[in-house]
Amino acid sequence: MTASERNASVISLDRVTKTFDKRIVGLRDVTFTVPPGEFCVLLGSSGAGKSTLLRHISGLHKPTSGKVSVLGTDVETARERTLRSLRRHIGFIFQQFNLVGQLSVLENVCSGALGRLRGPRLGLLAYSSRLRREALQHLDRVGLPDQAFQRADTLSGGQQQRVAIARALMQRPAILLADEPVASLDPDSAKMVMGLLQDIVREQRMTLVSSLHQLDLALSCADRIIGLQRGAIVLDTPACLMNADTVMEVYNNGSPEPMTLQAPTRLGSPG
Amino acid sequence: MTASAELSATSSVAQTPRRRRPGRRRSATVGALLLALLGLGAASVIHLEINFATVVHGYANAIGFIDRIWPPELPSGEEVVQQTGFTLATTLLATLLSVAISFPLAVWAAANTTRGTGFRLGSRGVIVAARAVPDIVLAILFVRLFGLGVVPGILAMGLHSVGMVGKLYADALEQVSDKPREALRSIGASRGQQLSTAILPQALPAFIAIGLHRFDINLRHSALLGFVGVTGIGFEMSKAFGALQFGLGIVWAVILLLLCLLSELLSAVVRRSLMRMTTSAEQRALRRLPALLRRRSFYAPAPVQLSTLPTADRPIFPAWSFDRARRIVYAAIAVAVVLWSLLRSGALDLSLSGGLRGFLTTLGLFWPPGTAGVAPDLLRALFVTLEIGLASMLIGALLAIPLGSLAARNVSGHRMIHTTFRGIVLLVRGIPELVLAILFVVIIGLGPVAGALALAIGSIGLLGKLVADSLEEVDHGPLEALNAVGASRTQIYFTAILPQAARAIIGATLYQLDVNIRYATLLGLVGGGGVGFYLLQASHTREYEVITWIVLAIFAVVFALEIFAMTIRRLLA
Repeated sequence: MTASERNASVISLDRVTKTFDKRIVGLRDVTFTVPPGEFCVLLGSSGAGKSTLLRHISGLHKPTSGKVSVLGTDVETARERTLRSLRRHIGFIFQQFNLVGQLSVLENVCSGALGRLRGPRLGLLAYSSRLRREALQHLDRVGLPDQAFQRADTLSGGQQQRVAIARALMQRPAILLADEPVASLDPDSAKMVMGLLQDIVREQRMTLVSSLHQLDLALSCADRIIGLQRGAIVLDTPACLMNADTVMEVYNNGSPEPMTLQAPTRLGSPG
Repeated sequence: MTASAELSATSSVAQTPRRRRPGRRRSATVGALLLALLGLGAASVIHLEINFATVVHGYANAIGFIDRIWPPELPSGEEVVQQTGFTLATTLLATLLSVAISFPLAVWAAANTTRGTGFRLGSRGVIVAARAVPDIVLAILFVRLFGLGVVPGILAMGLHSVGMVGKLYADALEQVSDKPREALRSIGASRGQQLSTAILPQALPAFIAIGLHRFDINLRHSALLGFVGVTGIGFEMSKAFGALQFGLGIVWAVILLLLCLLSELLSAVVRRSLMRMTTSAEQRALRRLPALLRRRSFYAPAPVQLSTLPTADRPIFPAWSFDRARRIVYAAIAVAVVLWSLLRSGALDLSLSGGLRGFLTTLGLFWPPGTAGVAPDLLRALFVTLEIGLASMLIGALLAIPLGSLAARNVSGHRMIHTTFRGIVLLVRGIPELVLAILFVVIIGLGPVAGALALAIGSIGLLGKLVADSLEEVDHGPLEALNAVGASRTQIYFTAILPQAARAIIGATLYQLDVNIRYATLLGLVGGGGVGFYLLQASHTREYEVITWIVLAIFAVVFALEIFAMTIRRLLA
């Protein structure tokens, strides 16, 4: 990789290998770069290494060997303090939304600003009115303007994931990472949430890396598809060049067992 | 992550054929240990001469006793209000003190919030130590330091309660979901921010419920502390019995009983409302109100479509609602009660520094432990305490297991039966052990029989509840299967319900033995027999080293018992 390429990317992984407990291989010699503003989908069945890869980008895991560079920070050598300030610029969307169910929706969104605030916050009124107003705007953006003062656990799964997106927006992130953001949602909510993510990253020129196991969703919204199998990259291509058949072909090539990738969206159990 | 889970799954599959099943020898060992325990219980019952004749003999005493207390002497209304105020203030402040100490300890002790292994072990050690030293001993220490009053009671119960509150708080913290915290961690939030935003809101209902539970327990203990000089209802009781004014003493005991029942009721209501907080409380409040009010709906304006307003004009704090106003009123009442307690107890006027100066000197009096030349007497009394514990466990289990079974929803099948027996269990739970002990002391006379019977009856409250709960928790599949076969209620109970709950019931009985031995020590203070008498004696004669000796001896007994219980639990697992 040349120096200019490295500068043009917000995320770059160079021959990253990760083993757990010296035995289990999480990632195998993974190399790729993501330019700013790209919507990149990591495709693969469970256990393929998608979550491990995302956790390397946000510095929650460190590679066993290889280099990870995110927004100009070398993750593998960074101290915890540096990583914390790096994470402030990376929004993370979880499969189970990871909201605090007992708190109001607005307070959950406000908590996205904790990275740039000092000290613990108890209650909604502990956030400044400027922050609360900003949080309301993000709730508007994800289409939940009327639910601000409801308890977060009274919302449906799709609504909760939209609150989680608003919380991530509160970070004003340069990168959004999403770990199976729609796996716990019904097909309609899944389409709505993926569409929302697509619109938001386009508007705000954010970089998005999302893991998915639904092929049709990946094809319909991603710019680029990276296919993972047993920790290694088996496919890296612009999404517009692919269709379901070509992707499945790559996956089934040379693999002793047939892939379990799901071509149609599946009915997930809501969260 | 997933890969490692899969790997462990495959390896456990591979191991299954090799894994040893709990063999016949193992269950034989458990059986032998449990039989030995029951045998010891029976031997204690025989040796203490707890039999029907003793109880019948007591009947005559009881008649004579009623003569002596009738007509009861009533304390003046003013006095009742004053002493009740002291007792409530002491209990409330002690509970708050224990909550304030327990919170940081629990944060350090819980695996998911601790700062490191050193913090973890340190705070767990402090919590265990707080439980090991009975509050009565702490009260003797603090009465010596600060003199008679409420402050020794606050400090004694506050510190001792940390043993329970701290442990339960740590457990509650460990039970919260880690997912919100993971999200805050990825946002870059600090440890303190993660704790206050992600963990505390989840644990808060449990924290409040635990605090209320401890308040109930402390209310009972506060009366016992009166016998060593902590102002309040207990002190009045001990004065009255000391002066042989039985009528007066009984009236105070009844007042205490009423207070305990009231507090149990109140905390049950609060606990239930905490449980229901998951759904919109506002809607329920609306539903309860008469239809007329609902139609007018002046207090609950129709939900405003906020989205029609421009963002800049929308409220950034929750709208005033019935529910929110009520919460604020409750909070204000709580703060007012605490302030009142602080003023009432005089804890603010006292110069703590003066007392603390003498602290080390006083601690010195308690060390080294000694027997003051009556070692044989102490050992004999300790043995009697152990016998009281074992006998009350046996009789208590014989009473509590049938009663608890009838109180379980899935055993009797009739709503009438299980609600009635639940009520009985709850009622017994509300009676302070002290009141039971005094009652039995006056009926049967001073001595271990009174203590053992009081604790046996008291066991219905705790063990009966635990038995009923564990029976209700069993898997319902086998019940349905036997029902389909056409088995009777009794057959279903013995074949499908009891075997599933047996392990939990054995565990609960062993816990009851632990509790009874601890209580047996304390009831000696009011004439329930055993080593507790020497505790009081030593504090009167200022032979504080004997107190330390007794505390360590009881601790050794309870510790040995815990190892025994752990062995049984391990063999059963």
